Amino acid sequence: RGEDGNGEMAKKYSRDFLLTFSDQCTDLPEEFEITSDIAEALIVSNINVSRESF
Amino acid sequence: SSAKPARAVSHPLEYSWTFWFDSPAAKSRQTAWGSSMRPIYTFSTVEEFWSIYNNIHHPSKLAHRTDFYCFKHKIEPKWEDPVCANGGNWTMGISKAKLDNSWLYTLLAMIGEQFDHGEEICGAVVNVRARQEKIAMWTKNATNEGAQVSIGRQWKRLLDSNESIGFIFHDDAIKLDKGAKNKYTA
Repeated sequence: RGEDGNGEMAKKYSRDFLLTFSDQCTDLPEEFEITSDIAEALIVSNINVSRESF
Repeated sequence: SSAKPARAVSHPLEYSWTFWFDSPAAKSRQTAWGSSMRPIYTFSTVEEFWSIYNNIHHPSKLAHRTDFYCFKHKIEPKWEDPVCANGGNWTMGISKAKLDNSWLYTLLAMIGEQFDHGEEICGAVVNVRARQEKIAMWTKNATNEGAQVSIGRQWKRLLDSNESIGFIFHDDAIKLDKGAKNKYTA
């Protein structure tokens, strides 16, 4: 089992396989937008965020 | 001079997934349910997933009354989304000690297509609450009992859970709210 709609094998990755990448990808994507509503509530990285005033 | 590093290979996921965030602060400014949640980022590769996950608070560090979602791209985590409308969800109460791992393992199983009926899955949400954190998995076709029970059982195995979990139809949740009963259990 594993064919998707195109007749290709679905991309399956086990938990263990996915976990091997956890140390490698530590920077947020360049295009990730840190808006003021999530800067403190969600984001961990120590990045200086300019707060927009409402 | 150092050589330029080779471009890293990236591992595409079967689906693109979107993280959505609903904070207590945003909720308190809105009156209509669901109007304060917003999409944060859509990822399509294993590498992108970790780039986000490694830089956001895990559920145990999120403020109470926060909801954090991971749904397939273009499916809104709302009952009225056309893909969700005929669906339902499995809900699991999670102890604080197991919360972060349970959420991570749920995410990895979804994005890694580890469910036999993965095509049925819309996404998952973690509700951070003072009394009891919950994770729910939303699916598309509530009346497909076989697929729903399969998902519930596999999810329990993946999270090493022995507790009974229930499946509620979104239709019932809309009509009966807290009075909605489990149609399936696993």
